[in-house]
Amino acid sequence: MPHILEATGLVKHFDDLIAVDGVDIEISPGETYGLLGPNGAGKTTTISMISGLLEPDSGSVNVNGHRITTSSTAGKADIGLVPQDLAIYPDLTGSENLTFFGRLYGMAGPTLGSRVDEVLEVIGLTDRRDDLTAEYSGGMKRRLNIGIGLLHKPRLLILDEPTVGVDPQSRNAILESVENLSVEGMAVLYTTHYMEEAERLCDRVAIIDEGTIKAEGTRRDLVSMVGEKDRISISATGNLNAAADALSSLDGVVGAATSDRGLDILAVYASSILPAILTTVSASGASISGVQVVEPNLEAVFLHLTGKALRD
Amino acid sequence: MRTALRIAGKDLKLRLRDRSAFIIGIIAPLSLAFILNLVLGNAFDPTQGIGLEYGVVDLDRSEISASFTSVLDEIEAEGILELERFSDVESADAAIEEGEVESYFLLERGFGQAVVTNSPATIQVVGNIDSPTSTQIAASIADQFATGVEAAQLAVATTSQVTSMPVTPEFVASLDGDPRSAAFSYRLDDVSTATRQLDATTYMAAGMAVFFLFFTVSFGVLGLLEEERQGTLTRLMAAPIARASVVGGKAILSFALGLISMFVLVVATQVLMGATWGAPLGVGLIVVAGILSAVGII
Repeated sequence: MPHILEATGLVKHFDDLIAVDGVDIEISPGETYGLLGPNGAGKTTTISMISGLLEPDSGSVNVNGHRITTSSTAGKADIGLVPQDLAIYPDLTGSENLTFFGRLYGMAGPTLGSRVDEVLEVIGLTDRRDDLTAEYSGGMKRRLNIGIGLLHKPRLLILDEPTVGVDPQSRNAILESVENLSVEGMAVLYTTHYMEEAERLCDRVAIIDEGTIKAEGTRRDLVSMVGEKDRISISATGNLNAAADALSSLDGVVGAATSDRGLDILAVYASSILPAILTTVSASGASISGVQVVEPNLEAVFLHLTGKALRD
Repeated sequence: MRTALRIAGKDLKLRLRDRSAFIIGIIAPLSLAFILNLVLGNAFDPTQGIGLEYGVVDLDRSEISASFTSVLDEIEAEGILELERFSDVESADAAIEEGEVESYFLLERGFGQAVVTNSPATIQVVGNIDSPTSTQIAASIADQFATGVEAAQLAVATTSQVTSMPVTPEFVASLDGDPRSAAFSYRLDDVSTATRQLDATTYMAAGMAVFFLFFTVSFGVLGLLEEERQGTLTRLMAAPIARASVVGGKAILSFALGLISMFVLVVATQVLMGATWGAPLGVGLIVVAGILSAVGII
């Protein structure tokens, strides 16, 4: 099956900073592809080049057989972009926003009207279609932001961290909408730094850090890279950075990093070295309130590949 | 072009909806023009501040001096000056000191006789040093009269030479046609500067319209910054449209807003304030050229 997206050898510099360094991505129709990485990993720069907003220093992007550049128009009609920041007109109604952007993509007349109705139904804003978007809640604006990207039925939908700053209820609605897109045969490129979203939505995930893709594959493929290692989650307070440094030099510990709740540790044969881990953490001045040995997930994969937590 | 028009149409809808273009483009300049015209309108009246209040001292009391004062009476009757008669120089000087008159004409005794006998004759103009313009106008009136007198004297002298008769009052009276009438054949034209430059109302209206035109057309550029701030510029750049059409849309919006603003201001100031903009075609061409220049500058 031909790929909808073929991005090859993408490189982008900003002065001395290498934002993206040799990224290759291929996505097939109906596939949801996740780009998982922490803030500043190069996700947004990568999708900016793919969607024709930025010209790569080297490499090429082809969407549905059309070469994408900043000045090309042919392939861009096959792309639907949902930017990370809201991109809607607050002084236009939801319906007017959709209609305006639909016209830019060559839609007109009854086709446009019925498609606007459909999208409003999908994103659950039919009742509020004639209200100014300035009066929408944050979640409603997010949904409209996605709806505009979906409007012209693109072959490739690019979602750049669409759930950032969204309440849990709206977040769940957005994720459900994205899940349904692959059913319709749309290829989706989804960037996130939330491991749970990548695990839930994506058929394949690329782990990106410091502008390069560290690993790529299905969740099963990626987790298998961790091998016989266990992930130990310690709930703790106190001097966690010192504890993480001390743990990193401990035999059997593959990686250790601070997390929201305490410490995330990747270790070989966790049960045998768990006492040493707990002793080291306590000796570093941290106070332990709980310990959990969990099955490796993408968070563990990221820790394994980069030696740091996904949220760093 | 169609895409640029769509973008301009969307922006126009936004501007009309938030009323910013309406306020900056029409309400503000119209209000300011109206207020400034009320406050400063008279300052632009070319006759304002020049006191044409003259006096005349006729010590000669001859027919010739009477003809000069009658000329002044005619001008007074036209409402151009106010004339006061004084019996002596002292009272005329006192009137100038007290500011009752700006200048006065002094016709010395023997003025009429000198004119009739082709001798040098003088009309003195005495003016207040603080009113140089009105004194200069008085001197011009006297000069005009003197020119006429000189023409009459020339005619009489020529006739006297041809007929070899001495110039006496009887000789002058015997001439066919009264050469003295030449002295009165001058004209005082009110050539107001208002016929060569804008009147105060039009000046205010045009000034405010052009001043606010720059604010009005700047909505186009501001629109680009607003697209950036709202994040919608990203969507426009990612859409299958030429990037030039985004800039083109903003330029079209600027031009349209400028045109609407200027049209409304020209018509409104003409109807409501009596401004005189001139020939419609010429005004239209200047307005379009001005808007294009403003768009280009902004």
